[in-house]
Amino acid sequence: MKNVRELLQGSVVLLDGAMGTMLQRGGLPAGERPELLNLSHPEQITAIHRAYVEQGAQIIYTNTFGANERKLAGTGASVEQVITAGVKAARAAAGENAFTALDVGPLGELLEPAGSLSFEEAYALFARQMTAGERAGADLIVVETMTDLYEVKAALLAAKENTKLPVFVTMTFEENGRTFTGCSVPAMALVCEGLGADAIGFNCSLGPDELFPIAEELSHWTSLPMIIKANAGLPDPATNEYQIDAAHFAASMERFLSLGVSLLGGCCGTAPEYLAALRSAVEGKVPCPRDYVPRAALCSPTRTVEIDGVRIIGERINPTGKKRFKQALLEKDMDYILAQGIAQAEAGAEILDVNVGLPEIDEPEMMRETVRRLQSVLELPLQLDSSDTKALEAGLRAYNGKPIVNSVNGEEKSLRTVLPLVKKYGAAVVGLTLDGNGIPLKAEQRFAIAEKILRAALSYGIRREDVYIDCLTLTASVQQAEVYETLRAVRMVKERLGLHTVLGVSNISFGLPNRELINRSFLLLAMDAGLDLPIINPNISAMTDTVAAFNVLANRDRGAVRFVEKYSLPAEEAAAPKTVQPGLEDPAQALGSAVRRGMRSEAAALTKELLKTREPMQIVDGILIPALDEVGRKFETGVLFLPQLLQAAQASQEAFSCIRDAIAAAGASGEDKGRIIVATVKGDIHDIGKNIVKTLLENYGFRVIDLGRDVPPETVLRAAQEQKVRLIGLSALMTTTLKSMEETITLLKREIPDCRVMVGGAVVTEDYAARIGADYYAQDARRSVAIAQEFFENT
Amino acid sequence: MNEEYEIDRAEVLRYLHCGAEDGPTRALIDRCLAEVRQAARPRTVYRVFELESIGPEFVSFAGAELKIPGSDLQRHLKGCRRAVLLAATLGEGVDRAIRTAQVVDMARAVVLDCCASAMVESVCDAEEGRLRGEAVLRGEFLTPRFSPGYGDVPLAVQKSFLSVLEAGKRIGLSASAENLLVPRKSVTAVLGIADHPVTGALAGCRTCALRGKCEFRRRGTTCFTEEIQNR
Repeated sequence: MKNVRELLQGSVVLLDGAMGTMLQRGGLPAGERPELLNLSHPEQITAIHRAYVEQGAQIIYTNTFGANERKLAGTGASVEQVITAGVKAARAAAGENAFTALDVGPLGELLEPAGSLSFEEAYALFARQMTAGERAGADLIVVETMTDLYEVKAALLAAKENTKLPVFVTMTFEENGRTFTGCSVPAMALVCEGLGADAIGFNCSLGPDELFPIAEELSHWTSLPMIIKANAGLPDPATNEYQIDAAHFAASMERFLSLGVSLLGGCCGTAPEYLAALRSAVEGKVPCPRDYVPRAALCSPTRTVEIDGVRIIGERINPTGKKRFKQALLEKDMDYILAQGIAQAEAGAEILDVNVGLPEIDEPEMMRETVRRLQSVLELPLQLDSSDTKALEAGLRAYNGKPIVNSVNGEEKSLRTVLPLVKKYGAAVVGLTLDGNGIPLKAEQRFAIAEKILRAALSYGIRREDVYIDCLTLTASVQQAEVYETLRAVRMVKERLGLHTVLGVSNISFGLPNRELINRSFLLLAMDAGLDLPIINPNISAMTDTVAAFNVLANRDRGAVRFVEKYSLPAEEAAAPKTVQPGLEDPAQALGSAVRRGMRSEAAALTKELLKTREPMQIVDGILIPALDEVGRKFETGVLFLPQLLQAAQASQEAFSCIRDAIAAAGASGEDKGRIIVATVKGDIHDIGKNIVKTLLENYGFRVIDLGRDVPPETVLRAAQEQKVRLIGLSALMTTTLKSMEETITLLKREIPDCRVMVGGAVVTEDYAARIGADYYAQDARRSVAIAQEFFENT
Repeated sequence: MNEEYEIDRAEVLRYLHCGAEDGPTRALIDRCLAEVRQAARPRTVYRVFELESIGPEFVSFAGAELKIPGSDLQRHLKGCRRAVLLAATLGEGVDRAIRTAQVVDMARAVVLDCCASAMVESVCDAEEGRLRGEAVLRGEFLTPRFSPGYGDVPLAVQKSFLSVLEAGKRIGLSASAENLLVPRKSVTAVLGIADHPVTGALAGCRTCALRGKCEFRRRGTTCFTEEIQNR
C-alpha cells in the first residue's frame, strides 16, 4: 500500500460515510457519547468500518470525534484508552485496503474571545488526542466539522508539533459561505495552507448541492487537494431525518470532480449504500485540472485583504515618539491601545501595524496580549512589528489569521531566524533592503538586497506572493538626494521582481514644516512608482484621501465603486467638534453642561480650551466632578437612568483624556486619586457590569487597573502585590461563580491582611457580601465611587 | 436585516431599568437596535421527545441522555406527555459588537447588550409561536418556555441539553466549562406538550437566585407579572 501523501497525488480518493448515523440506527440515544462504544462494543464499530471498506472507502475515520479530555470527563474512560481502542477497531476493518484516520472534532467549548477556553488549553487538549492517535497506529489525522478558525489553528499546530502524520482539515459552512463563527472560505484556505495542512475542504451541515458553490470558491483560493464529505441533504428539524437518497447523493457528489475535488465521502445521514452509489458514479473518472492562481492576501477569520490595489497599513499602534502610548504600555492600559486600533479601522486602515516594543517591558508577553485583545474587537488583519524574534513568534502563535511579519532584512542572521517563523506560521513577510552595512544609498544596491531576501524566502518554502519589499524611506531634510533612490528602488522591485512593496511614509518629512504636505506628495510619487502598502496615519484624512484618489486614477478601484461610496455621503459628520466662542458662554459652565448632557466631542473641545488658562486638576475638581456628582444624584433618585449616567461619564472621560494628554506632554506622570484593581472572578465571562464600574471610577480620577474577566484568584493577588494596590473590586454575575468570589477574597485576606475588597454583581447581596468576608457591598456602579472616595479619604 | 423579529422596546427599557427616554437616549436605543439586527444571525434548533418520567427526582426524556433535576420543571410539565427542547442563539457577531463597544463607548455597550437580550427573546417568541401554531393543528397545546437556571433547575444541565440537540453542530451553540451559553445571547428552553390546554407553572420567586435583591420585588411586582402587563 502507498502512503497517504502518495495517495493524494493520484485521482479520486474515496472516504467513508457517517459513523454517528449508523450508531443512531443501531439505537444509540441522543446525547450519549458514541466514543465509549470503542471500549464496550469494539466489534460493532469494526463492523461499521468494514461496511465502508467493502464499498471502497480508501480512508476511514476512527470513532473518536469527541474523544477529548473535556467531553470524556466523568465517563471513567481516558483519552488514550478511547483513542487506542478506536484506532484498533478501525485498523481491524482497514487491513491493507484502507488508511486509518484519527478523527478529531471540535472540543465542544468555544475558544476566547467568544468563550473562555484559552488557545494554549485547546492546543494541549488536541496534542493529547493526536499523540495518542499516532502511538495507536493511525496513518493520518483529520480535523473535521470545525467552525472556529482559531480552534483549527490550535489543532493544526498540535498535529505538526507533536506528530509526523499528514493532517486533513474540513470545516462546516452555512449556505451564506461562512461558518457559525463568521469564518470565510478564503480565510480558511489561507490559514490552513499556511500552517501546512495536507488537504482541506468541507464536511457536514449541508448537502452536496448546497456545498457546491462554496467548494467552487475554495478551488480559487487553495492549491491543496480538496475534500468534500457532504450530508445526505438537510435534516428535517422535527424528525431529524435527512432528505436525499443514495442515487441523488452520488450524482450530486460526482459534480465536484469538475472543480478538481479529489477526496469524496459522506457525513451525517449517509450510510454504506451511499458510498456504493458514489463509488460507481466516480469509478474510472479523474478530477478536472484545478483553476487556481496564487494570490497575495492576508486575513483574519472574517476579513480577507487581497493586495490588488493600494492598501493602507495603520501605523499608530507604536510607542515611537508617543509619550501617552508609552505610558499605556507601561501601565498595561489595553483599552487605550485597543482604542487606537478601533479609531484607525474607522478612519480607513485595512491592515494594522502592531509594535509594542519598549525596553522596560516583557515584549513577547505584551505582543501576545495585544494581538489577543485586538482580534477580540477588530476584524482587520495585523502586521506584527518587532525586532525581537521571541515577540514575533508570540504574536504569530496568538494571531487568528494570516498576518504580515515586519520584518526581515538582508543580514544572514536575520534571514536565518525570521524566515523559518514566517514559514512555520504561514505569514507574509516584509523584507527591508538593508544589511550589516546599513541602508545602501543607490537603488541598485537596495534591489540586490531585495533579490537576496526573495531567494532566501523561496529556499525556506515561502511563496513568492508572500514576500513584500520595503525599500526604506529616508528623511528628505537630511538625505534629500536619496528620496528618488527610494522611489527608483520601489519601481525596480515592482517591475523586475514582480513583488509587492511596503514603505513607512511619515519619516520623509521629519524636521520640515507642513509635514502633511510633504507626506502626501511623497505618498503619491511612491504609489506611482509601485507602492502597494503604505504605512501611514490613517486618521489624517489627506493621506487616506490621496490613496482613495490614486486607486481610482490607477484603475484599481474599478468603476470608482469604493471612492463613490466613501465620498458621496452627505457630510453629516461635520457637526463634530464645535469651536468654542469666547465671551458667548463661560467655558467652565459650558463644560459642565456638556458633561451632564453626555456630549463627548463638545466636552473635549471645551477642555482643550480651558487647559490654556487653567491647571488640569482645577478642571477635574472644579468642573468635572461636580457635574458627575449632579448626574449621579439624579441617577440615584431615579430622575436619570443608566444610559444617561454612562453618556455623561463618557463625555467626562473625553475631557479626562485631554487632561491626561496635557499632563503627559508636560512630562509629569499625572496625579491620581488612588489606584483600584477591578476584576470579574474566575469562571465568569459577564464583564459588562465591571466595565461600567471602571468607567465611573475613572471619571472620578481614580486609576483603575482592569484585570478583565474570568480572572483566577492568584492573578488578582499577584496584581495587588506587585502594584501595591489596597482596594480591590470583584464582580460576579452568576450564582455558580460566587464561589470564586469567596475564594478570591479568602486568598487576598490571607496574603494581604490590610487590603479591602468591594463586591457587586447581579446575584451578590449585602448579606452574602458580608458572609464571604467582603468589606464593602456596591449595589450599583455609582455606589462603588462613594466606596472608593471613603476608602481613600481614610487612608 | 432580521426585520421579521419585532424587538420589544418596552423590554429593552425594562432591562435598562430605564423609566423614561430622553431624546439622546431614544436615539441611542434606535441606533443600537439597528446595530443588533445587523450583527445578529439568529438560529434555532429543536427536537420533540416523549417524557419518560416526571419526578420525583428529575424529568427524563425517552431516547435522550438527559435528566433535568429539580421540582420546578416537574410542576411546569404537569399533565404533559411530550416536550419540545429548544435552543436559540443570535450568533457570535452580537457578542463581538458588544465587546468592541465596551472599549470605546460603554453607554452604547450597555444599550446594545439590552437590545440583544430583547432580540433573543423575540427570536424565541417567533419560534414558540410557530411551534404553538403547529401544535394547535394537531389538537395539542404548549406550556410557556422554561429555561435551565430558572427556579431550582441548575445550569449544570446545559451541556447535556445542548448535546441532545447537537446544538454545536446545528446552530454553533455551546456551553463554557462553567455552563454559560456561548455565544452569550442564547437561550435553551423546555416547552411541555399536552392534549389539553396547559399554562405550565413558571418558577416564581421562591427558588429564584435573585430573590434577595430583586428590583422588581422591591417595587412590589415581579419580572413575569410586569412582563405580562407590558404586553
